[in-house]
Amino acid sequence: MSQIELEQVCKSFTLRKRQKGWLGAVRGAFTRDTQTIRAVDNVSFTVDEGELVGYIGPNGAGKSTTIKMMSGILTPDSGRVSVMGRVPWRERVRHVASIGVVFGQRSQLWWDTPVIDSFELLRDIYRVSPTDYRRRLDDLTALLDATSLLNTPVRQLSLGQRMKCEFIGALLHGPRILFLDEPTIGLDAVTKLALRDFLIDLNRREDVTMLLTTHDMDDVEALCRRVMVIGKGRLLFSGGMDALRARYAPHRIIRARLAEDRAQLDLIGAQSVTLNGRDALITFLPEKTPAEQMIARLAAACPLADLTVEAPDIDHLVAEMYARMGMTT
Amino acid sequence: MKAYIALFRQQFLSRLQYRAAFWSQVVTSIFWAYVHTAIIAMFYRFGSGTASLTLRQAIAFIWLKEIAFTLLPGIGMNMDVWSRICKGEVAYDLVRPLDLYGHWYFSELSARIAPFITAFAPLLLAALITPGELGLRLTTAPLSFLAGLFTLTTGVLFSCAVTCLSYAMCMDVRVGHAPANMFLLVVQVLAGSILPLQLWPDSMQRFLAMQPFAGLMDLPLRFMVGSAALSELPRVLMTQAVWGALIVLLGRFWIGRNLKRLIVQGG
Repeated sequence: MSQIELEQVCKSFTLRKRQKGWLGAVRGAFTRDTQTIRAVDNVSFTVDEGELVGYIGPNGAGKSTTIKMMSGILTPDSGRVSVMGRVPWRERVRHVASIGVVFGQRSQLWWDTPVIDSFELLRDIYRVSPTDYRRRLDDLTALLDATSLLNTPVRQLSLGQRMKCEFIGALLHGPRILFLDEPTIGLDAVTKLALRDFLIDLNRREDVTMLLTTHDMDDVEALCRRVMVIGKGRLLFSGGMDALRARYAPHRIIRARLAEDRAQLDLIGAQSVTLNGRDALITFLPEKTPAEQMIARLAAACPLADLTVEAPDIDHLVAEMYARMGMTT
Repeated sequence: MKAYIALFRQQFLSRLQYRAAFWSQVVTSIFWAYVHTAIIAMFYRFGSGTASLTLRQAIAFIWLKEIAFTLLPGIGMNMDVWSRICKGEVAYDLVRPLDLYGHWYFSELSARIAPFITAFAPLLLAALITPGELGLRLTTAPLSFLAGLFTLTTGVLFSCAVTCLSYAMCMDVRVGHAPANMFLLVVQVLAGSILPLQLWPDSMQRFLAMQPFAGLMDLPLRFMVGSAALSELPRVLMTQAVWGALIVLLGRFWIGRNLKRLIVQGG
């Protein structure tokens, strides 16, 4: 049996529309237009123990709402959710004791006091034994290089430092599942890489299941073996990164620097050819025309100064996918 | 229980972080005590008719009220929970293996008691060293004073339930912020925070003594200034217990209902 199961889950909420300006505000006091938004619409999926799954989609697609239903914060309108055999919102207190949650845009630490005070509070809230607490705190602070932060008040931490502490706070009680809602938002490259290594390590050592929502596709590529795409509340894709590429961006790109000026370049098998001075950008489908053949044709057509072959950038891939699915926001 | 005590401790520690906030609280309280006592003294000197409190009792009431002020719901608000509700950070409160009502109740309890304990001594000192008729001069029997202290303590338990009710209002989008604020303001007035309830018109006395919020501060302070007989004690405790239980039940029910309809927007 899978650790997380969602079956035809729906959640909608009502949006109140108001007119602009003074008149609108007065009118709004007496009448109002409402609009029902289906934040999550018939979503079904399963996640097995120890899986590291990326959950992506444009802003407002329903990612966070799904995460919040799985963590017991929100109650769905209909459908079935089971996490470790429990219905999250019905057995909230028992359920949340075995999960960890990091919301990148919110904080669980107490603003005014040193970080260690927040950790000790979490220890008491989750009833972690003193020995387990000590061991886990030492492990986590060592892994995240956060030992020196413990006595600093939270308000004086940088965003990167605070996020490290948020992760430690979410893991002190040894959760079996970790829900990460945009955990790397706003972080610099060094911190991001450190957090990624940390998550991979944690997943490998303790077999913690992780579900990650993010807009950072590098995160997904580095961390997740499976990716799920949601748009306008519907689940549109679930599978490996390779399958996602094969479906939405099967082409490859050749960037070439030509050795002589050309006004036009005709290549059989190319999807598109764009010339900009001596720079050429050629896209092709390797399953129809192998790269070797394509390069040979290009070299025969024109002398080359330089050449690289690349897969499409993942951000473009996702943008393309959202556009094709009519999900642009 | 350990978790709730830890919450209490954490909230308490947070409150001790800011020296400027502490001193501004003390200075503001002393300022208001002077203004209130001066106005009351003018009324006693130049007003006609009789009052059910002597001037000394009324002045004592004002000083004790300033000392106990932070025990009232909504004073020096625990803005933390309000802003967490509005910004959606209530999501983090819900991923704790705690009863949400208990979680908020205990953090509120701490938010009531911490400023009271820290400001108690300087305010009492100011009250005692103020010369003449505007200073605090108590001639109450010790037993009555103790009864006052005791009911003030039980009143704090009730006070936190009232604040939790305001959280329930704040969570409910159909009610929201402003009515929750107005509710707390009415509660404070009915608890005797503007004027001792015994100085209100006679025709209102029956209502004022029966309404739930007198038990928060006015009734306890009556024992302390000696304007209520000790035999009133069971009735006061009963009022606090019955209304307290009702407000806890209402708050729990309302918050539970809100949770089913909760929406956390914006990531």
